[in-house]
Amino acid sequence: MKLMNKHIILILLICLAGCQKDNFSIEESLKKQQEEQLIQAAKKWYDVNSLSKGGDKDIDLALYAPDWSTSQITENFNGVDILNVQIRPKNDANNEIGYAEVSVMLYGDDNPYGVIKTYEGNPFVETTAFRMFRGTGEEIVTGEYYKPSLGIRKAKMSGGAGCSPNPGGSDPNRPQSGAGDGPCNDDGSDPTIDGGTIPEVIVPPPPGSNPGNPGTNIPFPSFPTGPGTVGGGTNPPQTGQTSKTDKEPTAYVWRDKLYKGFEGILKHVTPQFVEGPDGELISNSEAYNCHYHAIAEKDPAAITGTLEDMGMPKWVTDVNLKNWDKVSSDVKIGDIVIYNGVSSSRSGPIHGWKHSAVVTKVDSEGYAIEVSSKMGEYEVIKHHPRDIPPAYGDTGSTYTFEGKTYPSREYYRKK
Amino acid sequence: MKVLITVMALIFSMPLIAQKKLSIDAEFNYLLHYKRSFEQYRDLSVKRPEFAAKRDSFKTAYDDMIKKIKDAPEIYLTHIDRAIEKNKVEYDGPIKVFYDYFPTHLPFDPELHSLTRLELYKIIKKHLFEKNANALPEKTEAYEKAGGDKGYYTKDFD
Repeated sequence: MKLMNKHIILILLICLAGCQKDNFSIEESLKKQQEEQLIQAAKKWYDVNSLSKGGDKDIDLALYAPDWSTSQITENFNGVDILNVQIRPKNDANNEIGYAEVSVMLYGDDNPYGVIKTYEGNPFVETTAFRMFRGTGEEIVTGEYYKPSLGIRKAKMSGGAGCSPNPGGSDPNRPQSGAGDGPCNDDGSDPTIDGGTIPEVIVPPPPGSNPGNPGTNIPFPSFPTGPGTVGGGTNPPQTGQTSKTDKEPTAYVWRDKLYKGFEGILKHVTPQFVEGPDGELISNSEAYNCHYHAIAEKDPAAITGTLEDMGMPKWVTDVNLKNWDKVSSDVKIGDIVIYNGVSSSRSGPIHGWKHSAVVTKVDSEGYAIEVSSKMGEYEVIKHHPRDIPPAYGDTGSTYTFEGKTYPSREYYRKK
Repeated sequence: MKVLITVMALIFSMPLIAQKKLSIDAEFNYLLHYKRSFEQYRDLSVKRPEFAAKRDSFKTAYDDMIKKIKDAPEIYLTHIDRAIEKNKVEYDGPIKVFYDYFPTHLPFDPELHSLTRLELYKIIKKHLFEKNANALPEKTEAYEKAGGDKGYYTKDFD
């Protein structure tokens, strides 16, 4: 009987192993198939773009050759596969670039979308100058690959887009891309590219180089920015839900609309200075900001710092949340959300608290689906918690700063 | 009769004139308002040309106010010198003023963008009267010294 039992167990184990192997094979096979599809699409993208003519090319793909043996698939913030391939100059004359690669992904009707990324030095060992180009060779972003955080900082849109280091002297008629509406940060970076730092880059489709659906109203695919073919660990952290507080929205309305800033788009309801009854310009004691809107009514004692010296006692700069509990699931109306992110300054990137809002709607699963935000001096708007201007942070759950991962949004509930 | 009406009209109009005449500090408030607004719309108009008219209008107002101050040292410089001598500004408004433009919907360090009125007086004296400049420096000395604004809101939990 004992022997029989042993035989049965052995047979079961063999069956189980066989079944697992079958499942594994199917998964492996599917993965291989998808990888092959991506590689073929990338080759097609490369061929189309290296043959493209005309225009002033900032980089000419025809002078480079991809080394397909270096192909490596990574994932972007949204979990979409990206194929990264190192490209090498065909002759030494074009060898001024330390490292270059193309990153291609499939989007929409499986059309390939790609960018070229070049690094002046060796990005695997050092912080170095970074440039990004469309497949057609037009430069779209410059910045600095910052080795400690594996991200791009001091990012600036090229070709007249983004900010201007000398706004007053710039030609207002030059081509616009809608990337920014103001001056550069002190370090010359574009504050509209998430404060000059790009943990991920949203790239418009290369004109003429991506046949098929350009997806005018569809959020464009996001590419990883770090070098992806060698070294590993080059992608920023994934945005897998670490807390069940909010999900990706079906569409980004305000993020796109407010990309150019708030002036002329939102109502300027509480300016910091107003004209007094005798014609004198005075501080507006009724001016309030997002933190006041989100926190003051529920917990006035939480307000520990304001611009009172400037005559604006409702402009909150510091709070104490000792009477609030952190919420990681089952969000409720009235909870607050605090937005954190990275921005740039003259002396380097900084990160921290950038905005606050109060939850106004949740779904049946306890995810926040609408919050109310006071937009600086401008009006209160209602939006999805992730549908925020780039200046207020990433849409993903986390962001990386100097190699460490932080939550992009934190929810709190009054005790 | 005609003379009487004119005199009456002048008498009754005086309070209105007095109301419109701003104090020197109120004028300095406008000086900074024009400066900040010019900086704001100058920056905005780079990407959004629809703001070019506002930029130009604030630039004109700023330049005009600078000229007005420089052209009347007997009023403005005398007032400034008197305050510097007393080390005190007689003004009922807020202790500090914002000096330059910065996006208020983002975190900022108020210390780098603001001045006491006395500090403002000294800057006006130094640049407009001593250096004969036609504009005030764009940023505060504190901002320049700090190497830019690295401020953000703070939150504590205890």
